[in-house]
Amino acid sequence: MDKPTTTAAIVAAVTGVFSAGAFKFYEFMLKQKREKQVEEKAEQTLYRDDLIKRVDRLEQERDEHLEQIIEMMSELAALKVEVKFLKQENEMLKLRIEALR
Amino acid sequence: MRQFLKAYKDILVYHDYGPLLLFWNIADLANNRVLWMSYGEALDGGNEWAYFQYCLYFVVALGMLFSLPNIRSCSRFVGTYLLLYIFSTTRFLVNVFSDPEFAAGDVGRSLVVTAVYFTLWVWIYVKMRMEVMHKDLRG
Repeated sequence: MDKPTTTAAIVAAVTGVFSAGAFKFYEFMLKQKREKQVEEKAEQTLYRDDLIKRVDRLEQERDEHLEQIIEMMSELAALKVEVKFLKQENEMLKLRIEALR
Repeated sequence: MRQFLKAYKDILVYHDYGPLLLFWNIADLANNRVLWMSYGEALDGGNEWAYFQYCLYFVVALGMLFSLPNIRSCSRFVGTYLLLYIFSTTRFLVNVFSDPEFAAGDVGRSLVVTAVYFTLWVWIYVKMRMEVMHKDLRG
């Protein structure tokens, strides 16, 4: 090979090797960036999943408490009626006692 | 003026290279001296080295044309084409600086055209490699 050809071959080879290295390095940097993004996203997803679980649990508790309140309200209504009748009976008994005197 | 320059920058960054590569590739193949010159003619003119070089260009350009739908293979052919380009340009430059007779020709114009073509191929190659990298990362 003559001198220009040898020089050209060396320059081409060196450029090829350097550009391949540069692309590999860039790919590595890109991968690192991507992994970081994936990690951040995973953390966000974890937080979101935790929030979803908490909301589910709170909603379940709220439903249970609502049922308890409804039960207590019906019991209260029954007790009110009972008290009303007892009061009426009491008044009647008082009147009877007074009549007997 | 800034907006005007930004429009050019956007063209370089965001526009696709596919159609350009296809047409450029066809033009490159049609312009290849192998199609228009026999080896005997090259031998008579003492240009057998250039003929081999054009043969290589032709093979790589054909590979590029047929692998155009497969970006990974095509980028390899574009890379090889670029290496050939660097090889022939360096050879040309060494000849220009070492041979006064060679330098007497229309060197300036050739160098300007080569620089523009080289930029074009580098732009296409970088875009392709970036696309391959992003595809790999996406999995």
